[in-house]
Amino acid sequence: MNDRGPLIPEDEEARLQAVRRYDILDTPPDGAFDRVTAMAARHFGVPISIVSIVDSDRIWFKSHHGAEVEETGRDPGLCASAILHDGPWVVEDATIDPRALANPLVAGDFGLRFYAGVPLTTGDGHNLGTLCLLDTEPRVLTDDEAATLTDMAAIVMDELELRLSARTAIEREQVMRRQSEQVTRILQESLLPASLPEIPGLDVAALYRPADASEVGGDFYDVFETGDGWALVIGDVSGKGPSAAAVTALARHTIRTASLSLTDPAEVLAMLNRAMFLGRNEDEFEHFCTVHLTLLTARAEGGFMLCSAAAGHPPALLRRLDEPTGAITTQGPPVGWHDQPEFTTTGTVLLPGDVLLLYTDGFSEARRGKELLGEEGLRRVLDEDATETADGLSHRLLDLLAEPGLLVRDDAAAVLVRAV
Amino acid sequence: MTPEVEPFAVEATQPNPSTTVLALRGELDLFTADQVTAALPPVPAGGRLVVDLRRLSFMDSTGIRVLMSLDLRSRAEDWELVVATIPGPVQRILDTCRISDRIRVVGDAPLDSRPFWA
Repeated sequence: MNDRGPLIPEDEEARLQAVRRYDILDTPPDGAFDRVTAMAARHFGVPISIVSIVDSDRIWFKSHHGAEVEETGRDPGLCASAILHDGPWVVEDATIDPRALANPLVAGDFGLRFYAGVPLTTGDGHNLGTLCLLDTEPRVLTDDEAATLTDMAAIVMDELELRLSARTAIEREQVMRRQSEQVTRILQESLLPASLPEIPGLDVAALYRPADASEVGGDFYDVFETGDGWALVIGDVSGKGPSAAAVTALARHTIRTASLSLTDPAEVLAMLNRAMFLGRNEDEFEHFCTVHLTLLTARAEGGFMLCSAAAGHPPALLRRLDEPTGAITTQGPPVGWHDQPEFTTTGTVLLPGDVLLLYTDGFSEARRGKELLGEEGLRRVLDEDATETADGLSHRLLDLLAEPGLLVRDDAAAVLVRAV
Repeated sequence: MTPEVEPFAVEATQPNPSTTVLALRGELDLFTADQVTAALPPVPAGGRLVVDLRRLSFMDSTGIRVLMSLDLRSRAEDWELVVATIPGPVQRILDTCRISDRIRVVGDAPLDSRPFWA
């Protein structure tokens, strides 16, 4: 058994665990419990009604109608006795009841004569405490009254269960949200290069800012080595979430593979279109993809040859060392729409000091009030300082997105290169 | 913050039994695109849907997606899709995406003239 005295229930360890699980001790007063004690006192015509929780060394009152006491010692407690029983526990007249004679409330100034307590029993059978009635007059609890008090105790217990399940649900949801955010982050990372390659003669930077951290975004970028040079990719898959991520993965890997054998970016996009178009149902149109692809080859005399093609993507911006920023405009339908797309390749050179910016429309559609940031807003950043590094420009773009008053509603991604 | 942007609106009319017109105003983007498909009444086979973008001040890639969806739907349901625009930012996006390769785009329908479908 146990050596803590006769008022300790046999299930005390598990019972105390249950008390902790409901997390009710030392919580602030609460209307729901106060209403039950007020109703009980009024219904039974007693001065005091209490919702008590029996802790290891004290009896704490969640609600105490008619008594300005918040807790009492467990040792002589009547509630401590009440929780040893499964039904109502009644002392009709304490002055003649040997179970209550020693209680300080009976022997002291308070002059307690009547006590009736019904245990608050959890679903798994532990008595947390009681709903009890106290009076200074002796009285009898009829069977009907005992049934009413038992029902009221059940209301108290229902309220405790409700709070427990609400809290459990919130905790479970928090765990699930953390897990989901972790999956999202891992998935997102798998769609972007872990690090940017070192390219001789080229200063490279990239940035990605999702609009919503809890969802896999639709923007992607890539920088990788091809057979005879390098590829810069930026794209935007419509929609979000796992199915958009699957399209993003298909796009990224197809472009990587196709760029190994094809030297014309328009042909790479045509191959990507075939890959996306095959297997798509005629009337099902969940995702399409805009892409800009630039292939770079180093020139013997310095700088790079650029070949660019785009599929429904905003023009790339090119800032010459000594000229205001211009655009590389190449037309083409978004990938995955129809089976006869025409993509065109545009060629130019990137000379030392020149900067090429590929971006997604999360940038250009950012707005301040009525005014869209637009291509113009990005040109201004590029034109600000012709000596800025790719990394420096990327930070300026991130600062731009973070400017107070600027509303960025979609994912934003960018790849920047500067010939050195 | 600055609510001067014309709110997005879409209005469906049927000037004659074979022609349905969806007139769009304001800005068509991620947040308004669903309203277009929601506003579209059934277009009878052999009929025509005119999507009037002439009063649209802005359109993003979501708007392109709406047009591509309508294109696929028009082919599946056997009706004609026509897009009306005027020179401006919206037409530039349609050009970038080569929309007219696949969809009939009427780019010379000025606002003050009586449109061909009326």
